[in-house]
Amino acid sequence: MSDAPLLEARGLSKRFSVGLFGGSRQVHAVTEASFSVDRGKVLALVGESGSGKTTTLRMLGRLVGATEGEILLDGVDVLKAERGRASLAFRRKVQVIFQDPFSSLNPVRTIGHCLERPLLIHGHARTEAELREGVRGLLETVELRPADEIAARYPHQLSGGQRQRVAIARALAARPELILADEPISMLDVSIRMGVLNLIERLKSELGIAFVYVTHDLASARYVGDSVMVMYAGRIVEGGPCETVLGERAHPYTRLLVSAAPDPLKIAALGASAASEQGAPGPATAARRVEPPSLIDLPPGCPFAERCPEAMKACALSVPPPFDLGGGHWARCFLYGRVD
Amino acid sequence: MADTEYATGARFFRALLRQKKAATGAVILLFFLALALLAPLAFPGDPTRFVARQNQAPSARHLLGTNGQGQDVLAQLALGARTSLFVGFSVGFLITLLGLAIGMTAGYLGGLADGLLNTFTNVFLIIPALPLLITLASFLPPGATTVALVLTATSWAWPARVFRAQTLSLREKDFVAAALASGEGSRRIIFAEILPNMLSLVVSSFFGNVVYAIGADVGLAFLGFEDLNKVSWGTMLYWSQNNSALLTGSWWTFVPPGLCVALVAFAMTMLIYAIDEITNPRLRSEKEIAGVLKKLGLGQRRSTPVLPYGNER
Repeated sequence: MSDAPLLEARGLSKRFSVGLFGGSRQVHAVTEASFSVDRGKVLALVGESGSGKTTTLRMLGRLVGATEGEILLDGVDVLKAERGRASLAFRRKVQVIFQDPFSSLNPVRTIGHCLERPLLIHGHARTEAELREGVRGLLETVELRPADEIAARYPHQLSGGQRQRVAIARALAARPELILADEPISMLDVSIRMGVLNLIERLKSELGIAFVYVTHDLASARYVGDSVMVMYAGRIVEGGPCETVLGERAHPYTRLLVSAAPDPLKIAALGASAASEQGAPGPATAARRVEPPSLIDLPPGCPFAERCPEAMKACALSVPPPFDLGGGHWARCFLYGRVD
Repeated sequence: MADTEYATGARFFRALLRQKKAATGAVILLFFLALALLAPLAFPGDPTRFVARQNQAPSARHLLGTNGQGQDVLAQLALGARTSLFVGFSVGFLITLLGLAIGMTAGYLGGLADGLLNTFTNVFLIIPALPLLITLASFLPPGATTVALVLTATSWAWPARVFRAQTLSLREKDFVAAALASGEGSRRIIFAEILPNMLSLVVSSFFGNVVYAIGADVGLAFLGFEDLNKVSWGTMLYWSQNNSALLTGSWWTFVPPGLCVALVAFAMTMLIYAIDEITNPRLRSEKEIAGVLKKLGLGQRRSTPVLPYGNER
């Protein structure tokens, strides 16, 4: 396998027009997102609601078009190569898992039918026997047994966790190289989340599938992620190897995000390791204003400046570029350099 | 408990037949369909021929009497059912089909296509249907086909709007995005993913459209904008009015056709209610709870039922 990244996004932006008659006001959902996904690795994308995580993911999966930017899959700019609809070749390589397992499966189709379709579309099975074998194999891969019984059921006869496993099986049916997972565990009971996360881990190590894992839950990002990116108000503000980013927390927003996590054990653990290293601010000093900026009138400078306890003059004037912090770790924050 | 929450296809119709309302509607409807089909056998010959003295009250010879032209009312009623039901069902079918095609295309494609189709639909919605109906019906050659086409042209817009709205909401569901991500084509997404999810809406819309079409057909004929030599429930009412049936007291010339229209509409409405009950889980569970309470001898009550210990199954 080559060292070149499997998927690369360059300056990916999405703006939605709002108002009557496709009005002139625009929502900047995602602004200039650039990153890459390595083969067989998990890239976690974290941020609060409305930060553009899901839009970024939907652009990568080509479910919504990008306003600007390039998506390179195996070095080919797919947005240029296939204008409009994505090709079957793209769909085969990149699959999507959705947040809500209660709406991502068609209620009038059996589980078997829902898994047969991608097998047929991508030519992985042709005869009845091949289809049945394929469906059984997929269900066993995601640990749903007895497979034949599950295949005959309708989605409403399964639990949330089982449905999410079916959704993962459907994504696997195309035999993809990359799976885009949009908060796959956020709608599941806490008790079954671990099982789904472990399944993702297993698919990564056994089948070499890369994942983009979108979440607002830092603990799960840390659990499955090889690298992590933090999004705020449509921009990626910090990125790098998972342990480094969540351990060092270079960007003030990352610190805020970590301190806002409600799990007391986690706060204690992270606080003990990080506070001794660089004296991270406690929750009390973290946020001055709770609301993120409106995505319609973005401030000219750093979007986090208004909330940031470390804000400087420069922050309000221009958006900080990514500053390299070594070891693949970077942050868009003037604390780590200046532009002249 | 039956798994009728997402009833579809065969399960849908099986569930439908278990309903009392549906059964009532179906029996009435089947009766009229049988009447229409068997009418030529039961009443051979021309229903417009002179059979007896005018305005005869119902008797053993003429079960529903004779009308102002000395024609047998029962024969006209049976044979008229053919015209009225033919127009009703064909228009209902055409309206539903056209509404589905235009509404779903607009709703699924969105953007410019939606804008154009939606404007087109809105134009047809605000065209005053009755004057247009009358104008078209009086210029085109008279006959059941003309009436069917005119009614279809003036009334597809409302169903189209309803189906567009439903498609818009279903299109946003993740299973549509998931189908897209699997590589499904547009046609399959519309017909195999979205359409089955609005089956109940389509079926009840169809029945509603049939009721509308029968009513509009009868209305047009009553106003004299149809071929008046042809026997239908509408022309029966027209001739009854023309012969001053109210003044002469010959109620048997207008009550039967009016009652038939009302009964068919009633049957359709019952079917619509039943479909609503099957596909609306809240209505269904209310009914189930009432059934359980009745069995336990607790009678109807509004509050949350508290079942006596040991009786829950």
